[in-house]
Amino acid sequence: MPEAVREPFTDLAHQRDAVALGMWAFLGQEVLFFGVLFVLYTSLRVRHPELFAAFGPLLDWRLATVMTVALLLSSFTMALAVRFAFTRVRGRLVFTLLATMILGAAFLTMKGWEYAHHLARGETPIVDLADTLAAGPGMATFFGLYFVLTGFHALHVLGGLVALAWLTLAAWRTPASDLRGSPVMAVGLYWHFVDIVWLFLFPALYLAARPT
Amino acid sequence: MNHHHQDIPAPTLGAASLVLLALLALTAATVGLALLELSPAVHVATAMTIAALKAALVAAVFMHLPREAAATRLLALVAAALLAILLMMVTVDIRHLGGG
Amino acid sequence: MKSWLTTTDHKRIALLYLGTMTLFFTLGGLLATVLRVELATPASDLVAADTYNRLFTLHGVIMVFFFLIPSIPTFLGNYLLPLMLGAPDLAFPRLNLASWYVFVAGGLLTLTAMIAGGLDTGWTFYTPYSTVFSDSHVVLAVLGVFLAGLSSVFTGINFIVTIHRLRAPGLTWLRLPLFVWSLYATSLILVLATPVLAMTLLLVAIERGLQIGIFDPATGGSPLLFQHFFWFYSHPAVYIMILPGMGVISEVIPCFSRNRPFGYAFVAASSLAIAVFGFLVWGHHMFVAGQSYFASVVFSFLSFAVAVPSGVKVFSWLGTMHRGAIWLTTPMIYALGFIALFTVGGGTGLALATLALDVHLHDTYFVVAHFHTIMVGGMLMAYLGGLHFWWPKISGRLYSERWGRIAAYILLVGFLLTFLPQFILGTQGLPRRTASYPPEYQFLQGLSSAGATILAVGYVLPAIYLLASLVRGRPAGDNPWGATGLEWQTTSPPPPHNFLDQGTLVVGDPYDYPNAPQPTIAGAGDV
Repeated sequence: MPEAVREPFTDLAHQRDAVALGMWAFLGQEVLFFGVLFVLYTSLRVRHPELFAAFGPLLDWRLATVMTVALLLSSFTMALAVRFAFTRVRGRLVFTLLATMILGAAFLTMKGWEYAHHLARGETPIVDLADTLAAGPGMATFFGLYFVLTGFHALHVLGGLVALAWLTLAAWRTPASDLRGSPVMAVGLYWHFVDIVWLFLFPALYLAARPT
Repeated sequence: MNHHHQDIPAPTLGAASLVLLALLALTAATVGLALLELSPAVHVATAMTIAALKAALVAAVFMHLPREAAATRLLALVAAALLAILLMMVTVDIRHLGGG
Repeated sequence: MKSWLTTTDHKRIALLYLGTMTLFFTLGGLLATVLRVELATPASDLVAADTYNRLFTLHGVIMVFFFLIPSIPTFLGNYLLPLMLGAPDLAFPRLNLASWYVFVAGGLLTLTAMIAGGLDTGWTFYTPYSTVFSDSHVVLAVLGVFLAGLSSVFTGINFIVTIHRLRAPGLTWLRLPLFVWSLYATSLILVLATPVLAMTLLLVAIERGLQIGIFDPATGGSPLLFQHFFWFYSHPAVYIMILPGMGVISEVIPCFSRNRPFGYAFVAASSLAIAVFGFLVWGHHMFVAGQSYFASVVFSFLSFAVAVPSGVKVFSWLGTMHRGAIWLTTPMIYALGFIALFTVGGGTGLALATLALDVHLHDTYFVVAHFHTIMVGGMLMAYLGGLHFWWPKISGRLYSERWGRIAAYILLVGFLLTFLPQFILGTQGLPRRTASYPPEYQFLQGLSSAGATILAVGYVLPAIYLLASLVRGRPAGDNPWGATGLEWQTTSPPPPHNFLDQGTLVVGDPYDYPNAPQPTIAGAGDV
C-alpha cells in the first residue's frame, strides 16, 4: 500500500473520490452558512434600500477591485498547486503554494487597512442596543452588515492561510515521491469557495450604489 | 498500483490561464457596468448574473466539479437549491408583508 | 484511558458518545424533575418565576442539542453504520474523533453558562429578548450550541461519504438496511441545515456581545428574520431527531416479526422524502408571529404533505407485522410503543399545522405535549429499543429480559400519564412556560407530575440492569435474535476492524427472515 493511502481506504483514486465528496459536503454546509448572511443582506436591501444608496459610496470600490484581482490570482495559483501536488513536482508545488499565501495575505492586509480607515472616520457598526432612543436604521446598520459579511469572509481567508502554511510545510518536508494530492485538493476546494463568496460580496456591497 | 496514472482533477496551465483571463474580464465588466447610469433593478440583476457566471467558472474549472462523481455534483446542487428556497421564501414573506 | 481518548475506532467513539450523552440526559432529566415538582402546585413556591425560566431553558437546550439530536446518529449510527456496510471504519476516522471533542467542548461551554447562572431565553433564543433584554448568559450558551452543531456537521459528512464510498462489494443501494437509509437522510439534514443555525447563533452572539444591530428592530433589523433562520434549521432538526428512530424501528419490527419489511423501497424513499419536505415547512412555527398570510398558507400546506411519507412508514410497520410471527421481546415492546405514540404525536402535529386551530393552540401545553410525544414517546422509545436490540452485539452480554420488559411497560405507562393530561391542558388554554397557573388546572398538572415520577423509574431501571449485565450477563453469542444484517455476521463485540475476514461476508437480501438463522437466546422457542 503506498504511503499516501490512509485507512480505511486501500487505493488512492478511491480515497481521492471520498475526500472530494467529503469536501463538497463541507462546502455545501458553507453555502448555507454564508447563505444566512446573503439572506440577511437581501432582507435589509429590500426593506431599506435607502441605506445602500446613502452609505454605499463610503466604501472604496477601487481598493475592492484590486482585492478581487488578488483573490482571483490566488485561485489561479492554487489550482496549479493542486496539479503539481498530483504530478508530484515538489519545487513548483511549494512555489505555487507560497504565491497563493502571499496573495491571500495581501488581500487580508488591504482588508485590515480598509477596516482601520472606516473606524478612524467613525464609520462604526457599534451601537448601544439598550438605548431605546436610538436613531433607527442608519449608518451603523449599513456598517453592521458590511463588517459582519466581510468579517466572516476575512476569517475564512485567515483559516485558509493557516491550512496553506501547513501544506507548504508538509510539502517542504516530504520527498517528492511521497507527496499526497488529496489534502492539497481539499484545501484548494476550500480556497476557491472562499473566493466565490467574495465574488458575490464585491458587487453586493461595493457596487451597490453607483461608484463616484 | 501505479498511482502516476491516476486521474488528475486540477486544470492544466493553459486551461487555468484562460479561466483567469475570463474572470479578470468579467470583473472589469461588472465594474464598468456599475459606472453606467441604469435603473437599480438592472444594476442588481447584471451584477449578480456576472457574479454567478464567475462562480460557475471557478466551480467548473478550478474546482473541477463536472469531473466529480454524480453524488458529489448532486450534493452541491442540493445545497444551492436550498439556499435559493430560503432566499425566495424570506423575500416572498417580506414582499407580502408590505413595508418594513 | 489514553487509548480511549485517542482512539479512531468508530465503536469506541460511539461508546464515548454514549457516556457523554447519558450524562447530559441525566442532567436534563433532573432539570425536568424540578419543573414537574414545581408544577404540582398552582403557586410558584418551589422556585421563583425567574429560576423557572432558566430551568426550562436549560432543560430544552441540553435535551435538544446534547441528547435528542446527537443520540441515535452518534451512538447507534457511529457504532453500527460501518458494521452494516461491511466496512472496517467510517471514511474519516480522525474527523469522527474530532467531532466528539468538539461536542464535549460545546457541552462544557453550555455547562459553564449553566453554572454561571444559566439563561432564560427558552431553547429558541428569540431576539430581541436574547440580545437586548435578557440578563443571563446567552453568549456562552449559544457558542456551546454552535460547537455541538459543528460536531454534528462532522458526523453528517462522515456518514454521507461512508455510505457512498465504503459499502461492501455487492451491497447495492437497494440492499442497504433501512436504518442506513434513515441515517443517510438524517446526515443530509445535519450537513445542510445545521450551518443556518450555526451562523444565526453567531449573529446573536455578535449582536449581544459586540452591540451590533443585526436583528434589532430599533436599528432596522427584523426579529422575524431571526425566526425564519432559526426554524429553517430547527424544524428539519426534529427530523434529525425522529428519522434515525424510525430507522431503528424499521430494523426491530422485521426481526421480531420474522418477516420482510413491507414495501422496502417505499420506506427507504420515504426517509428521503421526509428530509426534503422537512426543509420546506419551517414557517409553520411562525403562524402567529407576524409572518405574511401568503407564506403561512404555503407552509401549512407543505406541513400536511409531510404526513404522507410518515404515514408510509407506519403503514409499512403494520404491514410487516401482519402475517408475521410476532415475538414480544423488550425491543419489540419499545417498537410497538413507538408506533402508537408516533401516530398520536404526528396527528396532533397536523392539528398544529392547521392555520385556524394553531391560533388557539399556539404556545399552550398542547405544543409541549405534541413535541414530547414525538420526542420522548417517539425518539426516546426508539433509542431505548435500539439500545436493547443491539446491546448484546455491543456488550457481548445478555441483559435480563424480564426486567427489560418490566421497564418498557413502566415507561409506557409513565409516558401516557405525563403527557396525555398536557394535551387536555393545552386545549383548555393553559400557556406553556409559566411557573404558576390558575388552581382549576391543578388536577391535570398533578397527574402529569405523578406520571413523571413513574417515567423517572422507567429510566433508572435500564441503567441498572444493563450495567449489571456487563458483570453477570450470559455471553450473547454472535446473533442471539437470529437477525439478518451484516452486523450479526461478526463476533459480539466486534473485533477492532469489525470483521475478522472481510471475504466471508455474505451480502444479499438484507431482510431474508424466512431463511434467517434461528435465535440462540433462551425462550426463543415460542417464535
